[in-house]
Amino acid sequence: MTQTSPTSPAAAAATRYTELTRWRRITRSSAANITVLYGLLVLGLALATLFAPGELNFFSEGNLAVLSQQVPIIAILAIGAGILMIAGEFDLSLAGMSTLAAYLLSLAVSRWGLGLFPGLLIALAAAVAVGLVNSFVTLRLGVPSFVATLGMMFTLRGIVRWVSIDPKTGQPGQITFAAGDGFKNVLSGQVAGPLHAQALWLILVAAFAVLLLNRHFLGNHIFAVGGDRDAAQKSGINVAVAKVTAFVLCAVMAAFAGIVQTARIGMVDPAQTLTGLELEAIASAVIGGVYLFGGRGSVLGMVLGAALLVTIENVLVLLRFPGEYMPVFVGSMVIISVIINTNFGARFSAPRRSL
Amino acid sequence: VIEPQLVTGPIEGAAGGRYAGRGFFDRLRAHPAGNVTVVFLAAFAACVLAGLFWPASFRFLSQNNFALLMRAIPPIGIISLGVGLLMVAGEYDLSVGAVFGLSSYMMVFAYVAGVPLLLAILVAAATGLVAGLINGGITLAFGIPSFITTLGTLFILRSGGRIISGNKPLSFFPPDWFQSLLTGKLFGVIQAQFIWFLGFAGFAYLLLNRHWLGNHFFAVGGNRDSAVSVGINAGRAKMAAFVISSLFATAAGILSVTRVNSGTTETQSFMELEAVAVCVMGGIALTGGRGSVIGICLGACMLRLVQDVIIMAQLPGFYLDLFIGIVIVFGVTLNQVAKKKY
Repeated sequence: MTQTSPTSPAAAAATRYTELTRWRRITRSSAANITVLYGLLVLGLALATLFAPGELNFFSEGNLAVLSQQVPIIAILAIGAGILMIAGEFDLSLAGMSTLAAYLLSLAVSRWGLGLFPGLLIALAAAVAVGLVNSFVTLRLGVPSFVATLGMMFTLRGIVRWVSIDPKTGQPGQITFAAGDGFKNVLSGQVAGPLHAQALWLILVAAFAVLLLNRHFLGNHIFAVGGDRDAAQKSGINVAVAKVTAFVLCAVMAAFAGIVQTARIGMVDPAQTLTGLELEAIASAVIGGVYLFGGRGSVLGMVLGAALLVTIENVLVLLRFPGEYMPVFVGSMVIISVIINTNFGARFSAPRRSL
Repeated sequence: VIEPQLVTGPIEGAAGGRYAGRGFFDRLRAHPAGNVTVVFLAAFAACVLAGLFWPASFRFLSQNNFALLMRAIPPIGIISLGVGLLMVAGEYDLSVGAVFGLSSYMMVFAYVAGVPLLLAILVAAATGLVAGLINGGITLAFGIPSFITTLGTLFILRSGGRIISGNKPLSFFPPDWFQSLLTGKLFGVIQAQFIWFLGFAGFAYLLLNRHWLGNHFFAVGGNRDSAVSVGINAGRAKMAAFVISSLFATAAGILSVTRVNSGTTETQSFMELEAVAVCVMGGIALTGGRGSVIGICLGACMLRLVQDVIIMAQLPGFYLDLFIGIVIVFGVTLNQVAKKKY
């Protein structure tokens, strides 16, 4: 500020962005990078399909059907994990939670004979309980959430192996999903062409998340608490309520995703807790522009982040790459996205903090 | 006027001195390894008693069982020592499981390809060194949290290893002197691996408590800003800790590969999480700046002891998961209370 400015500082601040407003507003959106990236990816795939038809069957009906069934599961998990990350916390117990919910539902229906709705209630109650325990350990005991939920991840893995013990053999084992064809179709049936019910559920969940984050006071509180906890508290926001809501929502969405996935596959396996689903969810959110330390992120970004991960995985499969290349991609994308979010995106909003 | 004592002596000594006037139990509780020492001794005593009481069904006191424990503890123990030093410096390393597999595989790969054994070990060390430099470099250069960096490198190195190895294990038959140096027995009972573990623990102890670098780890992990303002090069200290963590994981990998005579990149997954659990159990503060080598060693012994008991008592395996999960949460809470109080 060596030059003398004719206007007052306030006016200068107001005019600073007027010329670039629209462009700035787009680039400042946390979903900007992922939208461009995903657009380019789809464009590239379209060109590749046009140039070499028959080589890459990305746009075939069968493949689109696979995508419309796989993207929603990761995306729903990513929305749960992403909302929690906006509130400034992590959840590593997602995979355990989704497997446990699917198990409880299947057990309630087929082994305990309780029927569908009590089974759903049990799964929901388990998710709420896990969310509450996670928030208690994090908020009351003061354990950093990624460690608290790491503990919950091991605990849930143990509980899943426990409930999965087959009374006949005494060993943990798979169980078939026997909640009836009607319920199965509602969750994962074919709607029209490649469009499956999972995609509609994703739209519903995403709409709910958008309304919560952008149109409800709780969403506002979640952003505020994640962005600057102390300032939020000083302006009268109940930090605990916002964070507990995010923890419980995350667990409930994980449970829902687990049940939807089980409806498609038709069985649950205790090994599903070991697939690294929680890391994929966090990776999707981070790739979608959710700031690692909270206070910044968008539902669109989370969904596109999940879509990007699943699409790349799908293309690698179509091109007959060995499955080992996928984690290399996920790992590098996570590091690069966090570097970008932390060093470039964040300067527009949240202050930098160490963990 | 109170002289600032931050970098003049080891923190442990300071804590011990501060409470010297108090009773033994206060000093024990003030020590980072206090809790784990009590718990481990109690658990060990309980196992011995149970072994005496039910000698037929609970064969804890057999020579085989001790040999088994002495073989099971060193890999996770050495990895945890490296991770623990890094945690004292205020950072995490989740990539150790992948480094463990990849660098030891590289050694076997080089040896099978005809490279002399000592050079092959250097190949492994170089792999570990590069992994540590990458972890530290990305974390420090871009200022992103180390648990994200190392989570990414965990993915990259693990599947990178699978791509290199094609998912096939390689047999590894080193010369006899090397085999017996690493996996032989002393007096018929003491496993050489356990001696190596004690050696690494001794090295880590000297580094942490008798070398300026260890002092810097405590200072940087405890309060980075005040460490920097008294002239400590925080970046150098953290980088050194990252490299040590990777090199310790490499060493554990070499030991393990030599024991099973086969190099594979399909390592035990979740070793990195077990290492964090061991460190937490051993009293390392998650926020850095507090911890002890004896705590890490006892934490590793405790973890494998519990596993051993679960196997011997023929309990279902999920008890180990439950144990690790509860220990992490409970241990972190205790450590934080202790850090605040002392």
